[in-house]
Amino acid sequence: MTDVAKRVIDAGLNLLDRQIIDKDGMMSGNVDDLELTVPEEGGPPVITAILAGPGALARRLGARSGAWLESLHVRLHPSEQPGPARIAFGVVKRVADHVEITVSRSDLDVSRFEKWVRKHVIGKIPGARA
Amino acid sequence: MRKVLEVSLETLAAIGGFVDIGDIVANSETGARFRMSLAWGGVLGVIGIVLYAEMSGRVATLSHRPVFDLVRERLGARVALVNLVASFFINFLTLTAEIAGVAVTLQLASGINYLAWIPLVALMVWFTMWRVKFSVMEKVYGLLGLALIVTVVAVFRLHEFHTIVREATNLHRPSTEDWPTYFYFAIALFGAAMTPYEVFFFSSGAVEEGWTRKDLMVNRANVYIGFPLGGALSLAIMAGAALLLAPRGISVDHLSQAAIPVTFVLGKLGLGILIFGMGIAFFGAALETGLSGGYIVSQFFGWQWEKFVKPVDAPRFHLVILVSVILAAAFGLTTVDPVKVTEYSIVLSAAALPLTYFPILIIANDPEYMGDKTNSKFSNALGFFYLVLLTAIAIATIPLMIITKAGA
Amino acid sequence: MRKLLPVVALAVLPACVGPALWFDAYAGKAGATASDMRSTVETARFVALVAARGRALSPYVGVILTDAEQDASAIEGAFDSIQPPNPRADQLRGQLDELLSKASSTISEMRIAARRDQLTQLQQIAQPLAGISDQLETFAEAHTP
Repeated sequence: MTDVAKRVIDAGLNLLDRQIIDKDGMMSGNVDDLELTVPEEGGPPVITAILAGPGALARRLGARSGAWLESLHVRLHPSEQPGPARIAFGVVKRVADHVEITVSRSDLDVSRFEKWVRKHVIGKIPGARA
Repeated sequence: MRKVLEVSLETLAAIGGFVDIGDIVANSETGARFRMSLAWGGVLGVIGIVLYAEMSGRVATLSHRPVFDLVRERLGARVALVNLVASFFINFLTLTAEIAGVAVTLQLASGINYLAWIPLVALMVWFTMWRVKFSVMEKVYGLLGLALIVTVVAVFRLHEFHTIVREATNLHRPSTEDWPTYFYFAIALFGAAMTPYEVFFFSSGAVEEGWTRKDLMVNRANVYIGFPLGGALSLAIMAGAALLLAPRGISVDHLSQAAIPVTFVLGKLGLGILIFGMGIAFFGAALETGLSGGYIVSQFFGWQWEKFVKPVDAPRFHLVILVSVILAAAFGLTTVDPVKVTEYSIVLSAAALPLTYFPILIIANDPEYMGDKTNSKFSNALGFFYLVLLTAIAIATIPLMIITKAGA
Repeated sequence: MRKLLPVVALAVLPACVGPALWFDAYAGKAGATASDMRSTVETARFVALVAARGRALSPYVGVILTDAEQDASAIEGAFDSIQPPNPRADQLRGQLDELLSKASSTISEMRIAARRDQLTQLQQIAQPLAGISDQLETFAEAHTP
C-alpha cells in the first residue's frame, strides 16, 4: 500500500477532487482532501488517508463558506469533536480517472448524511425501492 | 437498418426537445419588437449549443465524466463551488419558469387560472423524474414536442418567405429601439438557445448510458442535425411574431399572445396543437432542468446520481430534486410573472456560460482525457471565438439589464 | 451674502429650467403608455377577429382577454399615479386618460362576453377599438422623444 501511496504522490493533484467508487461500483463521494503523514524513517510525506465529506471540504474552501460548512458538519455529527471523514489509504485499490476502494460505501463514515436522507426522507416515499 | 431508425428517432426527439419556454418567450418578444433583425442572435446561440454539446458529449464519452465532475477537477473545489451556486440558482429560475409555463398552457386549454395548476404540474414533474426511465423520457417528450412544427407550417402559409429572409439578413435595428435594448434582446435569444442545463443533462446522460466511441457518431448526428432544426422552430416563432404582431404594435407579455400567429393562420386545430406542443416542450424542459439541478450538486459532492439506480441508492440526488421542485412550485405560486422569470433565467444563463464552458474547452483539448479525439483546429478556432463571445456577454449582461430596465 | 449666491442660484435654477424638462419627461412617459395600451388594444382586436372567424378555442379567448384586461388596468393605473408637473401636462393627461379608459372598458366588455361564450359578439363590441388604436398610435408618435 505504501508503494501505491508513493506512486500517487508523484501524480499529486491528480488525486484531489476525483470521484470515489466503492467495491459495488457505487459513488462514494469525492476526494475532498488528503491526509499526509511524514514517515518515521524520513523521506517524502506519504498519503495515509483520503478525507471526504463536508468536514474535509470545509478546510479546502477556506474563508467564510468553509467556516460555515465546518460548523454545519460539527453540529450535525453525533460525536463531540468530529474531524473530517477519513478513508484509510489502505483500502484504495486503484487510481484511474476515479479512485476505486475495496470496501462498501455503507462502511464509510462519509455516508452518514446519505444514510440519514435514505432513512428519513427518500426511503419513506413510495416507489423508492422499485 | 435498426440503427438508422434509432438514430432518426433520437434526432427527431432532439428537434422536439430543443424548444423550451425561454425560446418561445425570447423569439416571440423579439419578433414582435425587432421583427427579424435579431435572427442572428438566435443563430449564434444555436451554433454555440451545437459546439458546446458536441464537445461535452465527446468529453463525457471519452473521460466517462460529466460536466460538473470535470469543472470541479479542473477549477478546484473553491471556484467550482461558486460555479455550482450560480449554475444551480439559474437552473432553479429556469425550473420555476418551465413549471409555471406548463401551468399556463393548461390555463390556455381549460380557462382555469394557471396558479391552480402549478401544484399538479410540480407533482407530475417530480413523479416522472422519480419513476420514469431516462431514455423513455427523452424520446417520448422529444417526439411529442414535434407538435411545435405547427409554427413552421403557420409561417409557410403566410407566403412571406422573401420578407423574412430579407429582414433577417438586413440586421437593421428598428428606429423605435435603441442599441442597448437591441443587444439585450440579442443576449436573451442567445441564452435561450445555448442553455447550460441542456449540456449538464446531455453529458450526464452520456456517462450514465455508458456511451462508447461508436456512440459518438450518433451523438454528432443528434447535435448537428437535431439542434439546428430545433433552432429553426424557434426562428419560425420569431417569424410568426414579426409578420403578424409587429405590424400591429403588439408586444408579447403573455404566452397567450405568443400563440396569436398560429391561431390566426391555422385556426382551432393549429392552436390546439400549439398549446399541446408548448405544454409538452415545457414539461420536458422541466424534467431536464430538475434532473440537471440534481446532477450538478451530486457531481460536485461526489454523491450517487445516476437514474439507473433505485432511488434508495441515490437518496441525496433525489432529495435535491424533490426540494428543487417544491421550491420552484412555491416560487411560482407567489404569482411571480412566468414571462418575467423566463426573461431573467435566459439572460442570466447567457451570462453564466463561461463558468462551465471554459473547463470543458480546456479538457476537450487534453489528450490525457480525450485520447486521440481532442479538438480539431477548426473546433478550437470556433471554440476560442465562442469563449471570447461568452466572456463579452458575461461582462455586458448586467449593465445592459440595468440600462434597459430588463428590456422594458 | 455672496456665499449664499451659488446656493440660491442652485435653488432657483430648476424652477427656471425645470418645467420644460419635466414636461418632456412626462410626455415621454405618456407616449410610452399610449404604445403599451395600443399593444393591448390590438391584441384584443386580433382576438375578436379570430373569434369571429370561428378560429379560436373559447377557453383561449377567455384567457387572452382576461390577460388584456389586467394589462389595460395596470397600464392605466401606472399612468394615473404619475404626478403631472404642470397645467400643460394636465391637458396631456386628460387627453390620454380618455383614450385609456375607453380602451379599458371596451376590453372589459369583451372579456365578459367571452367568458359567457358569446364569441360571435366580440367583433361588434370591439368596434370602437379600431379608432382608439389609431388615436393611441398618433399620440404615441407625437410624444415619443
